[in-house]
Amino acid sequence: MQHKKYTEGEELSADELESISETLIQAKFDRDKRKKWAQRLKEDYNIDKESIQKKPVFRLSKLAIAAMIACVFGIVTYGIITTTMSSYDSFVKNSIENLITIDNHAVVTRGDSVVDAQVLQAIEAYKTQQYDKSIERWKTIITSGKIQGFASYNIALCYLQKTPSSPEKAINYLIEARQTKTIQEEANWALALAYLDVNQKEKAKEVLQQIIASKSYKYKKAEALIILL
Amino acid sequence: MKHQPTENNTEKNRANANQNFGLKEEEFDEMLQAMQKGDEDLFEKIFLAQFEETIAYLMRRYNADNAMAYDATMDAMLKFRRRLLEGKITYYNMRFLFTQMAGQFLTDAFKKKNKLSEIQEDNRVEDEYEEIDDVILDYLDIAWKGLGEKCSKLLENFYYKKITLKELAETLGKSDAALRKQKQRCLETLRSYFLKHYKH
Repeated sequence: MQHKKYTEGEELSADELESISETLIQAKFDRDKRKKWAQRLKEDYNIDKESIQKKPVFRLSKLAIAAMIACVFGIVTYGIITTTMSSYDSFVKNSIENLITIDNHAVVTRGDSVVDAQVLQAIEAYKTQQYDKSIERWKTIITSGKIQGFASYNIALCYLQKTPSSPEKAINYLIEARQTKTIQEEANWALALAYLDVNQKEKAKEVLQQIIASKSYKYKKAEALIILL
Repeated sequence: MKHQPTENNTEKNRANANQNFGLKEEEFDEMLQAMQKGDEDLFEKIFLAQFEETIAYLMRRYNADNAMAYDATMDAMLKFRRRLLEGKITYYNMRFLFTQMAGQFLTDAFKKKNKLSEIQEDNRVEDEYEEIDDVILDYLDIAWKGLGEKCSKLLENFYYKKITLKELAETLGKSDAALRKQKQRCLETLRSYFLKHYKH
């Protein structure tokens, strides 16, 4: 480890001193922040590292719980169906429009400045609805071998949201994207919507059922949607 | 089924705010500006308020225990703070980015845990996973207290608050070059104080 040279008194160049000092100073202040935040979490939010406080639970019979769940589910489903969805088509349409690309470059490019710049360009093009340009940039990123799952997901969203849309192309990219664990849940939801966009209801059902079974991202909406199929 | 891009900006803005812990774009900019001036109150308020939600997400998605999810969320918050100060995070789906970051820390922690148990089984020692020991940081704290106020502020502002030398020089009415030399001297002083205590 580099910092051993610092702690063991070895001779350091100016650059080494700068770099190791920066690491140590950041670690020192991070430790201070960690203590301060832990204190605030405990005092203000009742959150402790060892035991996350659980909210008090009222003891109810299984029958009462089942009845309550059924009521809540019914109300929620009815509410979703009657208020947020005027129809099945508009539900899918709105859901597709509300999909949003993932600006993940700060996490996954790990300081690769070339990819980082390409990601910024792709995101910027998406934000300004230049979907073809954004697709082109994401494809370049894929050829670099970096963040393929995220790039595939973002390309799929461009295909879904551009005019005219190309859900068939989106489906291919989403199938690719769902191979990446960290994007799998979002890709599954988008894939279900893309299948519905091309009226492949059976395939959509299959994906929705997976989402519901694993209680993953958007599973409540998936529950509401599957009722309509 | 074809669809047109939405015309409903209010709905889009609401969705954007939801993706960004309830912050509108201008509020995000205000938070960032405040952070760049050393005021992190709003940042802490926002991120500490959704700490529990992130822990719950990690525990559900990765089947992690409380302590590991807590540490990963804390690590993510520290890294997120640093990335914001470095200007590497823009207003766009912060909620997703933050949970992904926490997930990445948790995955790394799982890998490290597995690797360490393999090492213990093999009786091998690898430096790969060595971290900065708390003892070193304790001695760094002692050395830090020996620094004068000018040095400690300069090093903290530059290395932790990420304020550029140019901005610091303007505030202090000094040239960049003079401040750079001062910073170098401060680093040397800090190290000499550290070694003095650490070696005895």
